[in-house]
Amino acid sequence: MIVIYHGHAGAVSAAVAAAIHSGLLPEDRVPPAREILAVPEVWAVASGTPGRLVWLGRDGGDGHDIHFLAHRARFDVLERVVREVGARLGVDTSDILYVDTVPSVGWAARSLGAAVGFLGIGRLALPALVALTRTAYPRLADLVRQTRARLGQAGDRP
Amino acid sequence: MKVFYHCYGSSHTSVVAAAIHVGGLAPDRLPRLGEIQDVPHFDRIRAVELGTVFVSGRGPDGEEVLVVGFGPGRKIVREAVLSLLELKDVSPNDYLLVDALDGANWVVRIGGMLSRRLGLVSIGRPLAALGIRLMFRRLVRLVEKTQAEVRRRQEIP
Repeated sequence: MIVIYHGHAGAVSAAVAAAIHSGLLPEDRVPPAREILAVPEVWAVASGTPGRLVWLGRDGGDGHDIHFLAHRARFDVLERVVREVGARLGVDTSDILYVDTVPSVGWAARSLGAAVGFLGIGRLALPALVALTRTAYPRLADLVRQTRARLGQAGDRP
Repeated sequence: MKVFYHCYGSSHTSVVAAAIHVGGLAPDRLPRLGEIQDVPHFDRIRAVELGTVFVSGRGPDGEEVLVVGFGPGRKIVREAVLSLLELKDVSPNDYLLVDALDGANWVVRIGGMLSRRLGLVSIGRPLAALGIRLMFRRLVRLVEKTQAEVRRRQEIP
């Protein structure tokens, strides 16, 4: 499976969830901000191309590819475009699992993320966004566990 | 090969560019407003259909021509599509994503908004058609460039 954690605006939460899932960040404790900022892919939220998939690694257990996607678009439309264009080109997209990380973060991180995305000052604001995302870290770790469980169920299907 | 013309709602610039590409509108003369409004799908796609791909026909070199609306954040959606197709090992020679909204004038945008978003079809649709007429040469140039790129990628002399 291809797992894509996605988040609107700044999407630090998506990068952090993907990093937890791929083992780059711990699942059982909240790491300090400097540990999160030491993951180079997290910086892609600020300096990467919005919309471009960022690969974080592979889930050790079952070899699922873990990515994150920072976007400022309507995700339902984005998902449909990917599915429809893919289908026209003979691409099977049913092996993609999208996981929205925004519901797991608080309003402060959402608001700052949206403002940062709008103003395009990602690199300057990234440490503040990471600090806010830390408050949601346990919920993001939970989300990763739920995703792993879903992947397990998907793997059991005949 | 497949050519996807995309704009906001697959209702105006993309469907007209696709119509020029497949020969539904002549590139060498300005179409009348009625002709523009008769282009299949012109100003008829509903908001719930955003992201759906529609087939327009075939181009001069056998390429399939399609239209799709990317909604808001079209550059981000485009990037996501490109990176997923890359991830799935789709050859860049199999498709072209052509942004038909680039350079669209405010007349098209306002006409489209009045018709599609506010439901004022009787005002919005002719206004959108007028905007298309004003930018018709630009769309013809876009289609010519796209057809040249199709030939280049298919190595057609």
